[in-house]
Amino acid sequence: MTDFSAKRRPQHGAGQDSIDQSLLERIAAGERPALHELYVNYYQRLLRFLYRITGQLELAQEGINDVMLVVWEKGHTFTGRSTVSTWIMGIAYRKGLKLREKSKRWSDRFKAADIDDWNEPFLPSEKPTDEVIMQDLLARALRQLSPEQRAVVELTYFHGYSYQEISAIAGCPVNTVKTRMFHARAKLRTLLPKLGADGPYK
Amino acid sequence: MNHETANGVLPWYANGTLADDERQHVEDHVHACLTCHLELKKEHELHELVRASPTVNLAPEEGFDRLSRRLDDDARGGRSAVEQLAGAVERLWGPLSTLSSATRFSMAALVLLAFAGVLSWRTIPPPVVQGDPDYFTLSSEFKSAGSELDIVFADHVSERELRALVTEIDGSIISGPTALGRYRIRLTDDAVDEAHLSDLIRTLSHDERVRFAGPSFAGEETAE
Repeated sequence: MTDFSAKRRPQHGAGQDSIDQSLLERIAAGERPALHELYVNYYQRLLRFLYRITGQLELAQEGINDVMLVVWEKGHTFTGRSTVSTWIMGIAYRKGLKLREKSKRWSDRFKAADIDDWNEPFLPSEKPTDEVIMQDLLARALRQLSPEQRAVVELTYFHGYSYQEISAIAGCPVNTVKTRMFHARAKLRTLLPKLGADGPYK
Repeated sequence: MNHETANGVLPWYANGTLADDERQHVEDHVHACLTCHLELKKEHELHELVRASPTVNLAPEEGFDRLSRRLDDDARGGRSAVEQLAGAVERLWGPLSTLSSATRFSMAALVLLAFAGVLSWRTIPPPVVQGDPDYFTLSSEFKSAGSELDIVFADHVSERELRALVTEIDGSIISGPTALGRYRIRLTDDAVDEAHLSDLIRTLSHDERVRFAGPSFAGEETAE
């Protein structure tokens, strides 16, 4: 029988988790070099995830340090009920939503546009390819989703987490994860009508 | 497994994270259901599209330096009043960065005016001395961020050529590109002097691979 499913991303393997766990044990013992190693290992992942939630690079960068400060201070409380990656992404999820909310309050107070409207306009220097256009459409479509829906989409499609892991990251029931994905897919289908119409991005 | 249940977990079937038994049930359903079969095709395309979406690539070192300073401050048992004020301004500035430049400029001008008003009320202003290094005008030369410079590469430069050039000047990319294509480069040699940096910038400015080269200014944000 044909296997339609994709391969999981390697960053979630058991080997990776045991490396993360050993780093976390050293961090709990106060070893700054272990924190540096974990920081470097997670930097791009967190930057992308937090950027997707907050919509701002500055907030995403601030969020990474907020997350890593929690890892440094609370590393000893990690019980191993989930993978280290799920635990860290859970912290990032909460920090990202808080930062976004704080930023939105400020923009509301000063009657500025919503942060999602502050993304750079699409300004191609040459005739854009189909792929570039599709990526632009995707970026715009994702901005139409709620931050919680965007997080589920990003954690599923880019980071390769299972719905049970996303439920642990977002701190909500599995059915809520599925519902968020259901609504996100419905919106994306409307906003990306060419998807699946006649092969890739046609 | 009914249609709704199978359809609801297709994204995780597509990313390969379903448990074996659940995966088998979905697979059986997909073979029998044309709607889910077509839906799965879209799922794979969406999956590929999201995975191929550009990732912001920044060097983590600068961020870790900031975190280290924060941890050192905490270890010392708190920060000085000046550091706390600076931190508060930094925290305040983050949310303000969502405002338009004009609004930010107006607010900054108002704060500066208010601050200047308080100062002029409380103290006698010091005389301005010609040649005083702390006195800046718009025509003054700004203090550069030491061994860092900003580069905008020419359109035809590939990523490999870009990295080769950065290696040639013995530097590393610490941030960028911004929306305008500007990269911030840190030279490996921290002790590089201003004369050397000026020579390097002059050389780079004549390099056909470079559209713009200039010093990075201390404290300037790289994100546009």
